[in-house]
Amino acid sequence: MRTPDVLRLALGALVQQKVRTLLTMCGVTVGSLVLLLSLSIGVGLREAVFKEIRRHDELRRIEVRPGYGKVEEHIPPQDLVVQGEMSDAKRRRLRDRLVQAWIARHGYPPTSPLTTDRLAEIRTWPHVVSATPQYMEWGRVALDGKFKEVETVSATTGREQRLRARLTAGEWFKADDERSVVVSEYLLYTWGIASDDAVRGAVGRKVTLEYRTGMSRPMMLLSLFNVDPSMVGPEQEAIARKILKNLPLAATQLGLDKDELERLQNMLNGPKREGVFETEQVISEELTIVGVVRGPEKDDPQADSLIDRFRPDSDVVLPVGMAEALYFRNPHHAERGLDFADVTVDSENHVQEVVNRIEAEGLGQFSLADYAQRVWTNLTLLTSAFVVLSLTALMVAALGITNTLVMSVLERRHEIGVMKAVGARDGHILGIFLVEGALIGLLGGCLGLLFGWLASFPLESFAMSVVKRQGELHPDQALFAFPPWLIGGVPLFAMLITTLAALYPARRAARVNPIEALRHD
Amino acid sequence: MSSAASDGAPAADDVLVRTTGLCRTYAAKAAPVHALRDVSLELRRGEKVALLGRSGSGKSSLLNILGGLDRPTSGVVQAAGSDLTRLSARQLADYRSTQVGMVFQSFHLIASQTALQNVELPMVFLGRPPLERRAAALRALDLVGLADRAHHRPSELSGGERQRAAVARALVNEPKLLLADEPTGNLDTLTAETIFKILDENCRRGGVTLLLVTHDEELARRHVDRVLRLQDGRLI
Repeated sequence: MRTPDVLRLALGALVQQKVRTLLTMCGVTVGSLVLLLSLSIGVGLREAVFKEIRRHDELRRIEVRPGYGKVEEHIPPQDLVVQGEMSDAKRRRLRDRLVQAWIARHGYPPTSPLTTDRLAEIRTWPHVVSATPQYMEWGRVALDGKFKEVETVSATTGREQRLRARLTAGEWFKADDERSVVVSEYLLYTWGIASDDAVRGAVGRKVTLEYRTGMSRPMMLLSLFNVDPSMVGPEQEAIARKILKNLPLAATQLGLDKDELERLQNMLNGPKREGVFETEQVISEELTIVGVVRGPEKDDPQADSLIDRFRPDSDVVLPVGMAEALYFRNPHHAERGLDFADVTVDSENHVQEVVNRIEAEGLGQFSLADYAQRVWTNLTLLTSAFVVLSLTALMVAALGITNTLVMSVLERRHEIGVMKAVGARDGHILGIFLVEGALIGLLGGCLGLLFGWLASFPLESFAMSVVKRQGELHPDQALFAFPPWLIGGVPLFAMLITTLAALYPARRAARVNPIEALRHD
Repeated sequence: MSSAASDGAPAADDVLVRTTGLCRTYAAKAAPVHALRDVSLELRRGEKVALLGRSGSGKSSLLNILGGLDRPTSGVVQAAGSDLTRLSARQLADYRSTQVGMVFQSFHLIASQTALQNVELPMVFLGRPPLERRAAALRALDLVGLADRAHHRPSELSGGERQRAAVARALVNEPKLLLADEPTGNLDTLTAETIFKILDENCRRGGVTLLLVTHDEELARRHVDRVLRLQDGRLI
């Protein structure tokens, strides 16, 4: 029997039952449509997300941090001894509190500090292209005696690219170790420098940058009076220091009676708390403003990478060398090392190898490769959930096809009997019914493809608006992707499912006894 | 043992059909039904034989076995050089499409197809090309005088026309054996005569062996070479 004849007979049978065929096909169409859209958005979203991640080569970047092992490793064992007879549970509870109290008193130093030596060693590792330190520090910057609390950052890769594009006056650093600074237009504005001319005029002026370590007792005193720190300069601090020095002498003027005065004197002259107020140290440097950068605007190109987006803009940017010099003048930093650094690897394929080595060194790390893997897994899970739903719809449609064809076999027993009487083999009958099932699947799948493609336009607009509202993804491609394998695969898969669904009725048709079929006519 | 009425033993290569000790028993709830009992017969090539018998005498059972639609419970059926009892289902289907043509009392045309498509159907299962089978089907319809009704569906044809279409379908593959089961049972006398003539002429022209089941002995005698009678599953 020729294939076109099988197709003709199968198609003819379907046309005979137009309404039933159409309704059955509707089920397949809906199932195929949902399957198509589920896979399409899954594929499209994954492509969009990974294109975004790869835009800045971020899958090759690893953020390295100091390693913080178990907290108890930092605590001298004798400080955690719980004295006395008690249950194990109580001993454990009290020990936990001793640990917390120790951390509150001493802080939590890293077990594996990220020192510059360590960073230099990382640069020698295989596959490591660069290891760039990131310096971020809170300090005070003063122009004409007006102080502002600011976060200062080093002009390292990524950030430099983003901020350099926003220069509105002056220029970017020429050397890493120059004694200069780039400030934000906002910082100048808070100093009263608002007009464009005034901003341009600020370039070349000197500012004083200060970092303080330990606790400032004069500042603590002034904070009791809710004094704005930006109002406090060296002269104000000198006044506060003088008040602190003379405060015990002024106790008699505070309206206390004799007993209260005595108790106050006892307190002030009694034993002092240890290790709480570290002596304040001021690190100060005079720098020249070489450039002014504006804040971000809505239409700015997404020049910053996903990692850099987590690092906010700062009002003071320092050349890397200068930032490093200032950072390590703080004795704590010299001891504890860097807060983090960026390591770039030669290929995405080697990221895991370097990550493993970083972790083996006891350092902390964050890489977008991990993040990407999680995103990939989440998107795959999400897509899989949709696919399962659509497969369920397709299975229900397949059951409809089985039902339709079983009915068809019953109704066409006479026709089957005639065919067999004139020479049809069982295989011919089987083939005709299987092709009927396949045609329903193929046509339903193609319709699902067409309607799915049409539905993708309004859904695309909706999904795009949602994604853009979220703001973290700016796809420049469609979120619904229709790769060739999907366009070909969905109708073929629908056809496979419906052909399998037709297997039972087709076998039943093939087994029809022609004598009985003709006798019952 | 029942035997075919024959005038002398025919040469072996002259015999198209030979059954020996043919039995067909149907299982039934009350008791088995013996439709055929030890039937032995021979049909010569080009011979026209009428099979007479009352209802339930086993005529249709014999036709179904000779037509390859059913298998005997026991006995041997030699037809067109094959032992039908040894053929697989697939070989039996091929036997039906190439060696046998069948005409039924109820015509058994497919209602959704035209007369032409019905006549083409046996050739479809042989895989013959569309143009070739269309020409053959038109020729067959022309032989039964139905060429002008080729594109009508069975519902648009009279009883006689439907049976002529059925005869055309039975002859289109040029079978060696034509089995006609009460082909005129649903037709008036005049139409029945026409159908007999058509069967007679076409069998004679093609050298086809005809086994005709009928109640109309008078009519049959005018068109057949010999008559077989079945009674309670036995040839008498």
